[in-house]
Amino acid sequence: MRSIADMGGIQGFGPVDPADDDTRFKAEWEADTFAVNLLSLAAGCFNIDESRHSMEKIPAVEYLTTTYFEHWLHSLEDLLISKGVFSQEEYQTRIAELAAKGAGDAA
Amino acid sequence: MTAMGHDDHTLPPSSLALRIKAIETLMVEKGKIDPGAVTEIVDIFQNKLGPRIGAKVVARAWSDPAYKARLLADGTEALKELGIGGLQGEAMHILENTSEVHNVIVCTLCSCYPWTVLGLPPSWYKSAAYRSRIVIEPRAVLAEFGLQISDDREVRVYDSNAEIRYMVLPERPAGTDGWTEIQLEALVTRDSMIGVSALTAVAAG
Repeated sequence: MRSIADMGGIQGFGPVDPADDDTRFKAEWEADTFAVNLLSLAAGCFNIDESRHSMEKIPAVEYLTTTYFEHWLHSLEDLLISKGVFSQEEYQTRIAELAAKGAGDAA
Repeated sequence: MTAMGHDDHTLPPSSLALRIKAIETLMVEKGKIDPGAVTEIVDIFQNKLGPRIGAKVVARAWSDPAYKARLLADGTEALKELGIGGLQGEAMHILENTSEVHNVIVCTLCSCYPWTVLGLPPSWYKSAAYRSRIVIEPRAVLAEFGLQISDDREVRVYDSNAEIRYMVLPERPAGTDGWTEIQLEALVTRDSMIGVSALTAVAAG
């Protein structure tokens, strides 16, 4: 199956906008997602092929309607839970705890 | 969609910031990530890595033919000579632009980029438009960047991947004979090392 991530040669995406030139993270969560991904790779929680595969199997419509670093975040959730680094329950509990404390409100 | 799956609608969608903070704190608790490591990585990528590193490499190659030969033969090893090492052990290949060949890099599958020499990629490099089109109509895309490549010059597009990252060695502009490496470095732009721009001749300085 050809994944939507395999974009080489697809037509219809329109012109490139060279003015869209920013290299900096647009929000703190993007920077954190980038760093946690690199550190998880370095810690051996998953490898680069698994990381790429996880993003390539994101459904096409979702892939095209979410941002670049949302793909990375999706991949982190997918791999760290499926490999048992932490459980879905631990994850949801932690999100709820952080929400109760008001963390993440700024983003 | 999050990792919670399709059948779980009991929790509202969590904000992106909450999700990554939850992952980060769990990873620290499990001993997979050192406290402070996230801040350190972000600082390295935002403030320490960047295209001025690549510009030094280019200036050295222009100034030292023996170094240039080593750089083109084995980019990974030649970069180590300048203290530039791979972050994930990826190999670096350096592509030399000449009067016959113009090289340009892309990652059609995601955004693989030569971080160690150029830092983080610009947004357009990660865009669907660039990833999809540069491989089928490179001359048209390069023209959108203001770069016209004559028909008698070959255009080669290199698709980066997890194991191999590329950087373009742009042509040295005319009028720079006798310039020091420091002077040359200042001429080299990020886009010329991606291959979407060329360095123009300058007045003798």
